[in-house]
Parts: sequence; C-alpha cells; structure tokens
Amino acid sequence: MNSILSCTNLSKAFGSTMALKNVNLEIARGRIVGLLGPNGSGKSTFIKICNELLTPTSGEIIIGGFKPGVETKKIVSYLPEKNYLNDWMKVSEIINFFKDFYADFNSEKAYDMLSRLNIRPESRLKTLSKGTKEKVQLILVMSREAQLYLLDEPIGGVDPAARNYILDTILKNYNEEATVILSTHLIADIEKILDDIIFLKDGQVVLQKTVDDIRSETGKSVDALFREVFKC
Amino acid sequence: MPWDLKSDRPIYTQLIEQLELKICSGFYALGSKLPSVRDLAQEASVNPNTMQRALAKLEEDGLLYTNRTSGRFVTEDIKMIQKTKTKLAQEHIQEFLEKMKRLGFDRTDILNILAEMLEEAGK
Amino acid sequence: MLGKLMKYEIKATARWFLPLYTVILVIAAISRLLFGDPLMMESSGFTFRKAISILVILAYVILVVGVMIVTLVVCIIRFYKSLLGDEGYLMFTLPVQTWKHITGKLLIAVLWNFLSGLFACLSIFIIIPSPELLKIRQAFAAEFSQFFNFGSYCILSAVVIVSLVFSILQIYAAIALGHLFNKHRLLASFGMYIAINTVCQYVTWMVTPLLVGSVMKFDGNLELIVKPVSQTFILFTVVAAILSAGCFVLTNILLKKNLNLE
Repeated sequence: MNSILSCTNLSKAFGSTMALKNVNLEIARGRIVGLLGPNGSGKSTFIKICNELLTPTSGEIIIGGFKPGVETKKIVSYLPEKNYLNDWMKVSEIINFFKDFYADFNSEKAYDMLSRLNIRPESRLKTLSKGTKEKVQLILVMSREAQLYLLDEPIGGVDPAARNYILDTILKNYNEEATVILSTHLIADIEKILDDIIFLKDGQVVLQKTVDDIRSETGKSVDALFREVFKC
Repeated sequence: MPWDLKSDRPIYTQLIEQLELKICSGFYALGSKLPSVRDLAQEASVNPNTMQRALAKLEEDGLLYTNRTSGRFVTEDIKMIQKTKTKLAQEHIQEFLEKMKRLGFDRTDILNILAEMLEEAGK
Repeated sequence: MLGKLMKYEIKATARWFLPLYTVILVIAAISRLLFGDPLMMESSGFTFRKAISILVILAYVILVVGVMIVTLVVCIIRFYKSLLGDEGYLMFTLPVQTWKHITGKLLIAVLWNFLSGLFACLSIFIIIPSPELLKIRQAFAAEFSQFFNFGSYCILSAVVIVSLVFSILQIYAAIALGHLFNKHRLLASFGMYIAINTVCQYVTWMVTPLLVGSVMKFDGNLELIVKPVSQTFILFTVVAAILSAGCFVLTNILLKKNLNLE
C-alpha cells in the first residue's frame, strides 16, 4: 500500500462550528509533508483525529490500513503542542516508560540525543526548563521507528537556534519509509525540508502540491504563496 | 562551501546547480566519495528526497556514479568535468553579456573593461 | 499492557501514600510513647491524664479519617490529571485500549483504599495496647458470633470490596461526564457525581428490599432478622455490581468517543 494515510470526506463539528469540512487527502509513504494554515484552520483537529484523541463527526480516516485505534498507535509517533511529560519522573524513567509501551522505541538513539544536549538521564523532569522539556519530548517522539510521525507545531514559540536543532533532528532521524507530517504556521523556516504541502483554510483543503511545483509554477516560495492565499 | 538556496526558485534546480559548482570547483574532488544523501540533506537543510533527485539527475548527466556497495562518487572522467565547467562558464558569461548589453556597452567596451579588471585582479 | 499501566500507576501514587502511612505510624508510635495507654481510665474523676488521653484519641480519629479522605482525593486527582489533563496526551496515544486505563487506575485505587484502611487499623493497634483491644474484640465476637459464620465474613468482604469499586466507579463516571462540558468542568463533575450518586443510592436501596420481599419484623428473635439481612447484603452487592458495570461502560464510552483534551 503506497499511502500511509488516506482520508475520505472527513468532517468534525464542535457544536455548531465545523472545524473540518469534507477533507479528502491521500498521503504517500516516505514524504515530509507540511500541513499549513493559520490558527484555527483545523490542523490540530486533524492531527488529533489521527491519534484518536477526537472522533470524526462523519467520514473516515485510515492509517496504515487501520482506523485510528490501538493498531495505528503502534505505528504513529505523535508530538503534541502541549508538554505531556509528568513532573515527578526522571528522564531515564520516561525513557523506560516509552520502551515499555512502544515496541519500536529505540532507547539508544534517545540516550544518544540526550547526551548531545547534555541532559542527564538522572535529572527529574520537574527541574528542566520549558525549552529543555520540549526537546526531551521531541527526542522521545523521534526515537521511535514509527511509520508516521505527526508533529503539531514543533517549532512554534521556540528560539531560532532550537528551531534548527529540531529541524536537524527530524532530518537525521527521518526514516525513508516513514512519513512526517508537520503542522505549522511558520513556513519560511521549514519550507526547504518539505516534500509536499497542504494548505488548510477554515477546515478545508485548498491546495496540495509539492514545494518545487509551487516554486516553478508560481515563481514564489511557499511562504510567499501562503501570505497571498491567506491574506487577511 | 556553504549551500546558498534562494526561496523563490525550486530547490531541486538550485541543488543541481550548487552540486555542479562544488564538483567543478574541485570542492568534491575528482573520483572522491560523496557524503551520504542523508548527510548532504542535513548539511543543506533540505528534504532528503529532493537531494536524492538532484543527485540522481547528476548521475544521469554523468557527473556522478554509484557503486552499489560503497556509495556515490564523483566521476573520474576529467573530460566530463571540463565539459560541465565550460557549460557553467558559458551560462554565467551569457548572463553577464546580456546585462552588459542592457547597460549599453558594445563589444570593444566590454573587452576593455574585462582586460582592465583581470589585470587588477592579477596583482 | 494492563500490568504495565498498573506498575506506573503504583509508581505515580506511591510517592503520596508511602510517606503518608509512615507519618501515621510515626505519630501513632510517638503518641503511644508520650501519652501511654489512652484507655487506661483506672482512676475516677477528671484528671489531666484523662483529658490528654481523650485529646489523643480525638486527634487520632481525625487523623484516621483524614487518611481515608486523602486517599480518596489522591485517587480522584490521579484519574483526572492523568487522563484528562495534559498527561492525557501521553496516555491516550499509547497503544492500549481505553478500558485498560480505567481498570488499571481502578484496581490501584482499590488497593490504596484497602491499604489505607489497613494502616488505620494497624495504627490503632499501636496506640491501644493489644490486651485492651483483645478485650474489645472478644466482647464484639461474643455478641455476634452466633450470627456470623465464615459465609457471612465472605459476604461482608465482598460487600466491602464491591462498595469500594462502586464508589470509585461512580466518581470516574462523574468525572467523565463532567468532561463533556467545555467550561467549568470541575463544577460539572461535582454536579454529575451528585446526580449519579443519588440515582445509584436510590436504585440500590429501593430495589434491594423489594427483591428481598417481606418486611423485617423485630419480634425479639434476632435470628429471623439476620437471615434476610444477609440476603439483602447479597442482593445489594449484586445490584451494586451491576450498577458499577454500568458506570464502567459509561466511562469507557465517554473516554473513547467523547474525548476532548484542551
């Protein structure tokens, strides 16, 4: 099966607001995809549905041949916007936690990345700064040999040096067979590492193309095109 | 040699140009082994797929070749490199000549200015 | 997977309970050493000693009740924070079915409640020397031994465990229902708990005697009263178990289909 993710007429309503309207997507394996759109366009909603953190109002989504559930969670690695690490654990304990529950977790990789950042495994998560905790979370997520990585706003609210670190980490641990879906509204920074982009506006897909196609067809960068398409 | 990628032109095209430059200038020496796709992509901060396609195109053009077990290498064919070098030079000069024409210089003026500047640069 | 969840649940909660139990035992030991046997009331009339003893017992009772309350509160907070707070993003993306999350937390909550009760009793033994306690126990035993046999003890234990499970599951269901609201979720959960508790109480106390049938008459013969009482207990346990299952299923469905983390 070539697509890792396929989405048919997916809609999600919160009360009377439609966060997603009839979204149809087909995402191939081995791609780095940018899910781009302003705040409130439905990016986080879409990603949460992929993780079974929200249930669709209608339509369906298939990941690796399964609907979101236990089977998909085994092959999907998710980095939410929020920090979900509990305070009382030590770094080594959260690594063991991931190792316990995820068969595809590579703890050597994790320890390697941690040592490069000088984060001691014995430190309690509570004592780490916000930025460091975010990096630990990223390391945990990228240490899984998953088939689909879903990163929700991984570089928002992060300083430029940390942004580079994050993008480097993604490129380094990117498995050719795996797909990475990055949602963000900070496009200029990540454009170069993307294969494909999806523009999401008011819960609908308005564009799905490769970055190079956009540049050669419009002579503009994706960032410039985005500013046009989403002009206020 | 840092990678210089502009944001309004396709990355793929720019990668090809930059790789050609690095090969022709000898930065990637004749017959030498290239870093892996992943390493190159990381260096340039670009998508590995795009880097792969650029490298594949250069292989097609004969500037690179792949040895199944040991990786990707720059060609040992000096003539090939010369050919590409010349092609690149011609492209740059063509651009230069067009600009000079738009400025209103004729053939003699261009040659004079060139000679002067080359002499200056030689010192 | 369930075992692993329970392992982590214990780790997360032990840091609250182990110190708590230690503190209780230490306080019990200290008060015993300082104040001696609070039940020693040989002298008649009011003495300073007696006053202290009474205070000690009072403080002690407050402490014991406090422990039970703290246990309950910790279990509630655990459920809420771990599954519906930010940590929910971690928990619900684990490749584990929702019912295992609920069951894991439930079993550990039952464990701690049970242990808290045990420690409370244990500390009573410390504070009151055994001979005295034995006398009390013997007195109780004498009164009820004619009515309580092994079967009754079993039923009693079952009732206790089922009641524990029942109350915890009601709380979980209330929290899950409160989560359906977008604002003031905590308040909503309280409201839901009152609603659920009322309904469950009503059903249990109304239905059970109906099923048992006849009215209990006190005609001086205690034996006649005890039999329907134990039948009532069994029926109460069954009804409670059914309602517990209902709460469990409700919680499971809500967490699976209606999750909406901030």
